[in-house]
Amino acid sequence: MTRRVSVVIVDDHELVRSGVRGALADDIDVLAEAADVDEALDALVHQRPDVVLLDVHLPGGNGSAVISGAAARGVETVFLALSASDAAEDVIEVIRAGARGYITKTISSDDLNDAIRRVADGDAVFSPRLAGFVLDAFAGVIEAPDDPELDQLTNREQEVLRLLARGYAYKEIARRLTISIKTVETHASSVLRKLQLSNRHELTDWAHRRRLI
Amino acid sequence: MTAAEHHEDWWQVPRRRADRRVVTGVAGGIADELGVDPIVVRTALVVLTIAGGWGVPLYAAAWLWSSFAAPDDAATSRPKGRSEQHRHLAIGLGVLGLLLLVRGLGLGFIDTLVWPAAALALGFVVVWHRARADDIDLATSLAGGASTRWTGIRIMAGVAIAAGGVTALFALNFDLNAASHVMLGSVVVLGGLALVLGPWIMRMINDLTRERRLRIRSEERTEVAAHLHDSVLQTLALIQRNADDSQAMVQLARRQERELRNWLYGGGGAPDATLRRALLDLAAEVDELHGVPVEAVVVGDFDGALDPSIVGLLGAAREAVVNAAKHSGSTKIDLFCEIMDDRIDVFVRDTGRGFDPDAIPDDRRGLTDSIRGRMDRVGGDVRVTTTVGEGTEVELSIPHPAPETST
Repeated sequence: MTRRVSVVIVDDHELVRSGVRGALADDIDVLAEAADVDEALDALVHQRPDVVLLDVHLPGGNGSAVISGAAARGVETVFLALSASDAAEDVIEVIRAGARGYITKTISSDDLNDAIRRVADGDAVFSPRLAGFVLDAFAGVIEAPDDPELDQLTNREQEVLRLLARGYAYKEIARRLTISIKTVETHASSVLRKLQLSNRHELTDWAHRRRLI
Repeated sequence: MTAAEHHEDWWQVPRRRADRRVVTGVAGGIADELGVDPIVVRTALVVLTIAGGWGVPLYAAAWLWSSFAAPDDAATSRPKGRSEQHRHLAIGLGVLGLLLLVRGLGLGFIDTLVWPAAALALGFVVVWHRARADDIDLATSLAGGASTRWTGIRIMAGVAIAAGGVTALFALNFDLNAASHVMLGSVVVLGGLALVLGPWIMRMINDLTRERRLRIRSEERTEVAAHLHDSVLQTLALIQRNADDSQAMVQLARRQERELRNWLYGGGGAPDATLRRALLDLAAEVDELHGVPVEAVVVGDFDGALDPSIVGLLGAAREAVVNAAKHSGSTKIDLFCEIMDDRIDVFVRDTGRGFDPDAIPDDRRGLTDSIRGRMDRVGGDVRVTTTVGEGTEVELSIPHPAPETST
């Protein structure tokens, strides 16, 4: 489990980049930093990092533009959204574009390193806030789904999300639900997949409505 | 005076304009050379074109000539020493001379067409010349406000000349008395007026729109600046003053962050009486008071925070959060609330030291009792899960107070 992880940090604020860099553990290598969408794509194509720490808001397009641009260039990497934004639609947008997780910039160093290692291993990373957003997005708001498979969370997935929103770690969820950690991870990934594949613009409507409540 | 001196003194081979041009930049280039408004040169060319088409060869000749000019020739220098009026008079007389010459040659010259057209063009130039520099004057004079006397006179004279030109053009070419031509006459006069005044009115409308947009933007900027001053700048000043007290600094920064977030993402005039708002405020207050971050996540909302059962729920939640902040030693507290169709759940979780429920000292009995008491009164449930060394979770649940009218 001591595999090294390489990352590229994408954020338009120099201070944030150096702060993140300083918080990373020894087994995480920063290959490059980028301040906007073009720089980020350039760095991704040339450096091919395991993980991209991606700010949601960027000059020249948002984080989602980096994700789609990387896909168009055939870069295989995973994205972990890192943001100070509380705007649900921003977060949902970047997750729907393909980010494997979302954490806030106030996260502790240990949690940050842990999150990076986990997305590098293919897991989804849910902060309590992201879990809340996703629950909100899937909660009764959406009716007449196109594809019931994709448009609804299973009871188990909801259970997992609720525990995540309550601040439980995967390990604790596994113990509480008496399932394996692997199964918890599978549920989390499948929630992300549903969020990405369901083609409902209602998600965006929801986000807008939510701000108006 | 040698030819070279002559050349340098008052005339350079015109260079076509690369920008701000209409066709190839010839007219603009000539206007630059002569130091007049390009509209004068362009209008003169149009008049000469009407006069048997002579404007076209003139233009072509100017184009050929200017194309031989070295592109890196001396910078555009406007002739000095003569007033602009003189130059205009010179151009006007030159055009008049050319017209008479063309007329004398009798090459495709039609009196009834050329002279009215020339008058119309003159009026157009009089109104339009330097209009760009006089924008404000034009706007105020149109609006009936104070304007320089000369601008008013110039505009009136220009309109009169143009109107005379249009009328003459029409009167000389059509039989105005014929009933079928009355309508046409009105249309032509209106068209002439539109030609003379149209661009001007368009510009005024544009100016008004732009002015309005700028005003809105500046109002917004003022509002943002005021807010930032009242909040962020004040806090930054406080932080500088408390630079040696890191605990205070962190708290100030955190409170400011939350306020700013509320302002940015809170949707401005969101009513305070929603359960979501109340919980976020609660988290913020405890965080501030006890210096422990409280991460509040709320799913759904209910806009009746004053409902008795909600008040009870909020009171119990506050006690649970405060208790965790004060006693658990946890570095972080999670507050999760889910508002469902039939009930409302609240979870308060810390990862602190936990406790043995059977060994709670009497003086801390208050916690569970008061939480339980509050929840019992509103018909809710409480469950406390705790493990020594791992943390505590308090679960609160009440039936939804108004399932029918939930938002």
